[in-house]
Amino acid sequence: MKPYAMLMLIIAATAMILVSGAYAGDTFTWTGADGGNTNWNDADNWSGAAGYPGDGVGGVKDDIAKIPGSLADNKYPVVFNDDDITIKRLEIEGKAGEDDLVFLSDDASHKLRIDTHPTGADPIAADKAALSIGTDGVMKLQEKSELWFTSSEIETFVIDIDGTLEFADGTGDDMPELVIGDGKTVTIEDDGVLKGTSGGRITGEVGNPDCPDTLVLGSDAQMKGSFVIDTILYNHGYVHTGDTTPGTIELTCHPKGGTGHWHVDGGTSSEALSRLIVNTNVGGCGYVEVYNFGVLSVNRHMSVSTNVFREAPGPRACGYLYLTRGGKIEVQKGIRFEIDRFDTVDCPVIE
Amino acid sequence: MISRHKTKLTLLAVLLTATIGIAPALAQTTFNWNGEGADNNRTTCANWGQFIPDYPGNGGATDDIVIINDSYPRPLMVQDTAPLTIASLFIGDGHAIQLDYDITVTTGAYVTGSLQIEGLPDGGETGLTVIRDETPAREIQAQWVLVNSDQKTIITTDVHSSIRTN
Repeated sequence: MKPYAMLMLIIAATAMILVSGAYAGDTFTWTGADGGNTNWNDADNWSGAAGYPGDGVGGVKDDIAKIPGSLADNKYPVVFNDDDITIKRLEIEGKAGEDDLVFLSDDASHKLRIDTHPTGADPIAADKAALSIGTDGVMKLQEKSELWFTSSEIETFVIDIDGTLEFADGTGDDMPELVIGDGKTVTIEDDGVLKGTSGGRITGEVGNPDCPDTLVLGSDAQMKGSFVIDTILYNHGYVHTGDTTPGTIELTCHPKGGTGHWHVDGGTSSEALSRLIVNTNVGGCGYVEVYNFGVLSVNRHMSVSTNVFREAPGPRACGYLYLTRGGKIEVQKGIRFEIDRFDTVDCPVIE
Repeated sequence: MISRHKTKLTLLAVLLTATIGIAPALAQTTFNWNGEGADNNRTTCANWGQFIPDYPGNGGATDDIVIINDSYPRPLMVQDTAPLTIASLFIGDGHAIQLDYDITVTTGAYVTGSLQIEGLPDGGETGLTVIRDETPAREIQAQWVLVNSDQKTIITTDVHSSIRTN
């Protein structure tokens, strides 16, 4: 190779490396400035860069979308009938009384994919959640919509919710989904709520080979309403079948556990029961409480132990059953249901 | 010098005395419900079919073992008089308990204090296992609860009753 050609090759290669390393996507802030619509995919509704988050400009999907909580005219974005959108991070400040982001879908399911990974000058920091929803913030998933968390570079996603992630509309095959990437873990931090108003599915991406997908509910986080949960679930917080209306939660497929509580509440009449359906093995050490017009259906083994923590008695100190005021427990034949039976041993004792 | 015979007698007396002294502490009676009394009350001796007429908790006993697993002719047991403390409680198929007073199942050790339930309540799907339709609320409190039966088991509580672990 001639020296001149060699020099050009080196220059070209260097330029490619510099470009790919420097480009870390764009940071967009929602303005809702377009008077005609509130569509996510309308560039006139965003500031900070040309286009809109997830438009794929530059062939990368590293955009960060911020939804402020201070819009005077309450014009918040709607993801609607677009191609699948992939961004790196979504931050919703939240405004009281408003739906700060609504994700609609048409006949075909559409995905809002959050693909968290370090890029250039924006490495993954411990305090940066893949999705954050501030106090009073509401992100609403409508029927057929899918919120994905996937990455080729990290294993654990943090969702920091002070507000609400609502699965607002759709039942059966049309219910909105939170999809966890194959082998990944999604942790719900802070004291926010996953609200299953109509019904939500927590599911995982099926890979080949298929790896376990895990949802971790932090100690102050809550799931309320109707859900189908087929991933592994570590419930360290609160799972309620009821919010303002009766709900049904089905625990299925992969096993569930954790130190949190299972409440069958919210039933209002014999025609409007709340149900917690156990279709996979459940272990743990929290409280199991079944209230009026609540039904706990135990179709797989369920065992809640005691004295996992050796602190003073009180909430979360041990396993606990409370079946009261019209509550009902159904246990299928051959299935073991035991609460508070086994004292754990060799737990560290607070001196 | 004490003879060998006297020594044996002395040892036997000591052994008998010790046995008598220990016996009250070990006393634990197992009661099986047969419901053949004139009413449904716990305190009706004829409902328990003991060789010596008796009922759980009689005389202040707190460590009886209670098995309610004979639904004919009386599927309903009425916990009729005063709070009852027992060591374990088994409730079999086709039964109901009316709680006029609380039942506490405990002996202070985790291997006992068990409440085991199996089968359908009296009346099947629409029946009640624990009945209390007036205030004040009553409860069955146990150290642990177990269901592990070869038949489907349904546990229901009335509006003023509850089952809980402690």
